[in-house]
Amino acid sequence: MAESTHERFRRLIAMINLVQERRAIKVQELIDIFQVNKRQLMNDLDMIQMCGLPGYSPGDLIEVVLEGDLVSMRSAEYFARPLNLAPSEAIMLFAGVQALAAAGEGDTNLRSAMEKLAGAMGEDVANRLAVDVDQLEEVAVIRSAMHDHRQIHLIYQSGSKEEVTERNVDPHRLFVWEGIWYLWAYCHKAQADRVFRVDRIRSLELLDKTYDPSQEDATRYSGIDFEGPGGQELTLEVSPESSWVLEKLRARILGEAKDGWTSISVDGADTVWMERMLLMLGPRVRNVEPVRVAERVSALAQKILNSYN
Amino acid sequence: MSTKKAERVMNLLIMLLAARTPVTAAEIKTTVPGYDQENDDTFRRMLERDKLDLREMGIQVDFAPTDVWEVEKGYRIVKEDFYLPDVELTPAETAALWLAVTMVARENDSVARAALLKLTGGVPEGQEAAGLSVDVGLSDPNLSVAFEAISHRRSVTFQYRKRSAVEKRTLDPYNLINRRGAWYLIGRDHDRDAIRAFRLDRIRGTMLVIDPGGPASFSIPDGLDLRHVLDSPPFVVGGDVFAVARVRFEPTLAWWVGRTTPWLRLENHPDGSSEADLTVTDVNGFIRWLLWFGEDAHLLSPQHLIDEVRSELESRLG
Repeated sequence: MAESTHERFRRLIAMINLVQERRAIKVQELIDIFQVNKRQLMNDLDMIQMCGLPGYSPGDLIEVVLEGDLVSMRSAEYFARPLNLAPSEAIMLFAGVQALAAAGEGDTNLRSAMEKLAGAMGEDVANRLAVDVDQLEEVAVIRSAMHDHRQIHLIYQSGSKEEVTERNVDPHRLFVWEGIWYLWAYCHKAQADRVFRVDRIRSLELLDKTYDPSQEDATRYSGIDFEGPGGQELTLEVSPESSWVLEKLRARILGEAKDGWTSISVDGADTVWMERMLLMLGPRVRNVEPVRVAERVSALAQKILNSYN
Repeated sequence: MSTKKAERVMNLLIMLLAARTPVTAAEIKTTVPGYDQENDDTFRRMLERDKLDLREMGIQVDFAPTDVWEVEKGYRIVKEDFYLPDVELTPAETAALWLAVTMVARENDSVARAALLKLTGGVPEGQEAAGLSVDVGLSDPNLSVAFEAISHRRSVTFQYRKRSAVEKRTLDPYNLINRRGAWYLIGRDHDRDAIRAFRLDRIRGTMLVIDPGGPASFSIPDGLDLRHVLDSPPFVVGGDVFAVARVRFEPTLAWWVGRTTPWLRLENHPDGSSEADLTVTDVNGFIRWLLWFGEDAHLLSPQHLIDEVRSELESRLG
């Protein structure tokens, strides 16, 4: 059974519960809350009145009354209380609370809400799920800058080029990907959007200068590529026992050779990150193109080797 | 679910909720519309399938004796599990929770909305986590299976991909931890009789709960430090100690290593560099880890490990 049909079933129960709790509710409010169209809502209401207690006589079935734009229901005491949280809902709540706490939300409301939830679900259940997100002081500072639309002065160590730079940025988004905090900002030095790893920010300072948030176009954040510039394509083959690396590289699989090696393409050919990745993998990768990347990796190997002499 | 099936499952659910004692299969067949026209085999299959659907939606159907003489068994829903316990949230607490779920919910927030609707009888307006998001990967269907198995203390079995092989594992699941964006299921591995961690995204297919309707099949020992399973360095995987390595990190990277590698005990030097001692059991794992830092990490001792690193580097000269 597809997920959406499970969703419908859960929605029906939630709807019966909500309508009884409110005694009567507007059709439009149901449409808004459950995000369905009017036809879907009418289908749902039709179905609800076909259900009820064994016997299934008019007195046993759930009574749905539609008067003008008001819906009410009777004879469904068994759904008078909300259904317990589904695992996916509980997971989302617990994960969300922990992630928000990591974002520096020292909010007492968040803590007391979580305590009440844990009390209801059982302390134990709440403690069995943990989301580890780095707690970085910078995150709270950047959040306050975003809130007040203030510019930030950054001293940043780049991961793709081994250098320390200083710049002023307009912070637009703060997000965690693979457990790591990133800042998406407009960089005044590059005069373009840039993504920074927050843990590579060596120091930051809130400036008095503000920026205009209405200049920001939220749609551009979809499908971001945060390896940033230097994200040229690279093709290579990976040995069968190193297939774990495919996830790590976010690789596109091109095919498989007869001897079981996987041919892939990845972005970020000219980053320090990629150089080190390939150095680490060594003989577990082959046919690296462009050749200049393979050459740089062996030059790096030589350089490190020299340091041991 | 077709409307016909949805109706049948809804009526089954209502019958079980309204019943004071467990309901036998025969009673269900003669009572609930949709089952009554089927022959016994088809009916059994339908009922099993419908129970599974309910379970997938988080509604547990148990099988229990209908009375104290235990002559017959029937189906029931445990009310304490079915209904949400009372949670009285203040508007400010609701707002904080909404901010929290929208932060991890991403675009499709129907789960977030459903959760808040249950807790508060409405969906808050606005107050979303503007500009703030955390990708914890909530889409893996095994996440819910694992969470429920932990809550009910039920063992699970699954096919686990390790390097290029796939192995069957059986586990008493204790904890779920999201680390570096990946979910790990930690518990007692039956075959190894030891605490192990498994990445959910390396589990092939659906995790199976052993005896899903049955009683708890284990208890979780108190005072276990489960995080240490994930906190150990990747190259300490048990077995004999090969060497204790002393590594120096250059100032360019030392500050960052300190931040991102909590299991390292770093000695910081005034020039910004740092040094640490590391216990190594898996030599290849250690060398890969070291090379990851490129020229910013330097192995100081012991000599026999330096020789291993050198020969690995020589194999990379092309």
